[in-house]
Amino acid sequence: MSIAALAVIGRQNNPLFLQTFSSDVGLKFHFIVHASLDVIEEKVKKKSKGEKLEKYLGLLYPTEDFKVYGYITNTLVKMILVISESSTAKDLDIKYFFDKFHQLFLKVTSNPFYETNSKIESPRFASAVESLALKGL
Amino acid sequence: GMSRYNTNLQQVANNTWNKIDKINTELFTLTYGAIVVQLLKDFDSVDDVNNQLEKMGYNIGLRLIDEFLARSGLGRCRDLRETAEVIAKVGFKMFLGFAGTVLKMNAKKGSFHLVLEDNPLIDFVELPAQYKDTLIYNNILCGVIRGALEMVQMKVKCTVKKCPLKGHDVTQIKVVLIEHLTSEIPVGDEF
Repeated sequence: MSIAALAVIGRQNNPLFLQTFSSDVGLKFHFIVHASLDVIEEKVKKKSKGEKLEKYLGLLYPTEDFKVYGYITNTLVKMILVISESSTAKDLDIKYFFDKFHQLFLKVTSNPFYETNSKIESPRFASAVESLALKGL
Repeated sequence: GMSRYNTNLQQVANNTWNKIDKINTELFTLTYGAIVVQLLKDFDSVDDVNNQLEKMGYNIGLRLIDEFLARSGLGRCRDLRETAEVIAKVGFKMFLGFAGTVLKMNAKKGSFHLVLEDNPLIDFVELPAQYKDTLIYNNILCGVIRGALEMVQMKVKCTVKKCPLKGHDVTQIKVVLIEHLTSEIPVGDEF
């Protein structure tokens, strides 16, 4: 299964959600996600001079075993997708995946009981994300 | 027979639906959600919140009934069954955007159940564990029905029997007719 991890990070770089789908140690993904934030910041800085910020940020960086992709919403919420290095998923597939993931995020944050910018603990969201991830790219 | 009557009600519902102004349903859903969450912050017990929601609904129902009767063009209902059908098929359609159905109609006992498969009030809502067994999220609907029917001389008691927020597949409200009111008894806002 090519998707190894999914993360949602808030506007203050606060972690909102992290789901791993790999037998690898979870801490590894924390590091990967953390490193991604720096790359995202660079990409966002580069574009900020009047240019429209594209939500899909593309490949952030490759590691030995993984490829890391990023996505940022207009409210500066960041989404990170970690897939295995051997995945043959195209940019378009990944962009499509992020759009779907974004939709799930919108649903869960529309819950009046969800406190904005807090950790997402909804079991419904977790299982929907798992289903989406299992579908693959 | 009954099926032609239901078809007529469906036509009334569709005609009424086409006539009225509509707003974005998401705004409606989020507004109601914000009210519930605020009430939970303002009141100490969940029971108090349930009561407030019912009261709010009651005050809305007192006003809604005139709008409903005027827009739908419907007259006085002949019996409880007709009342039930009108609420489900025309009332729900008009105000929630989705028609409901009537179950367990019992004219003798003076009771019926209203079933809604789609309920915009609860879109996106997930109840936190601490409210799952106590909060009656849909209680405003009970109040609306109670207030509306009181204005047409029926004193009823409504309770939510099923709710998708608690794991059921539908929203279901039981309505029991307590008594017919005579026109001398004044009806008014509850605070």
